[in-house]
Amino acid sequence: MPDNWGFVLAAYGLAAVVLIGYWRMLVRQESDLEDRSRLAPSSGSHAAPISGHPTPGSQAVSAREGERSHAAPISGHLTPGSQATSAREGERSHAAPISGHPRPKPDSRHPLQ
Amino acid sequence: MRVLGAVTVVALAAGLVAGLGLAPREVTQGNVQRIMYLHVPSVWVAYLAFAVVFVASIAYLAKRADAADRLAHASAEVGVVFTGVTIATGSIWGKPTWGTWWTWDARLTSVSILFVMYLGYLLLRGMIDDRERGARYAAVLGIVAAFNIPLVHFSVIWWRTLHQPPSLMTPGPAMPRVIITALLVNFVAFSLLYVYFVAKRVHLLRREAEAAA
Repeated sequence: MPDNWGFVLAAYGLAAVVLIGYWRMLVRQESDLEDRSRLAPSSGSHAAPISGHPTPGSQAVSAREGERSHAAPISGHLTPGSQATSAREGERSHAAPISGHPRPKPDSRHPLQ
Repeated sequence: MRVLGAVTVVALAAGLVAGLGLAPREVTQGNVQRIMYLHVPSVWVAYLAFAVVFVASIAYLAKRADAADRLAHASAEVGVVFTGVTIATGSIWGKPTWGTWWTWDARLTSVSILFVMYLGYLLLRGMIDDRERGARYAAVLGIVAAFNIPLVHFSVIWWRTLHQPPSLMTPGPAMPRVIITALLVNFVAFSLLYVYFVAKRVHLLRREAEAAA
């Protein structure tokens, strides 16, 4: 009987595709859940705050876990506490203010502080 | 979980080496028989998964413990994946040895019914919005569907089939030790993969439930 290595490779290849695909699906679901649980404390919704003051807790948690916040404030004031936390972890928040005050560098203190 | 994942990868690699490298070429079928090292452990894991669904479903109905429901759900999902692998690899093995990809043989038909039943089990869970009611209905189906497992296993003994009878647990000429070893390595590797998948899925289901609460 011929060896039929092609069938052997097809069987192993197909099994690898299915099992790796399932594993990747589990990993993706896990990272989606992590993202959701990170965003959840901000306000219970994923909408960006309209007038600029993001919830201190959410920013701080996000920065602490080394992730950038997707909630971009529209008018610029970031909570000093969150900035300080972000700077402590050596991470910059990418939430760029669209209008209003330019953000101080993470390692500089606010002049009013 | 990471340690279990790493051990599983090592075991799977060892199984691959044992099945494709160390095990000898079979005399009558040639190298295509190496599909056995993938096909037989896959169906073993499918049986194991559905047996766990059966036990966890009984536990859920008896105690209404959410953990038992999550275990049944996770195990059914993993079982469906491995049953799919079993059917696909069996079909690929069937073409060069039987001359056909598929035939309505007792073993192939009963395993297809098993696959469809547990697919239905997963669909049922997804269809019912009330979580508690869905879990209860799924538990009943998980118990009923398990009665198909012995039917699948003994189909090759009870009926005349194209599929060969069980080779490991029937009396007769013993398999060479190296073939049994390669098969056992793959049994262990696939069982570890099952445990890893189920642990990960149960963890996800628990977090989903916490997020929904």
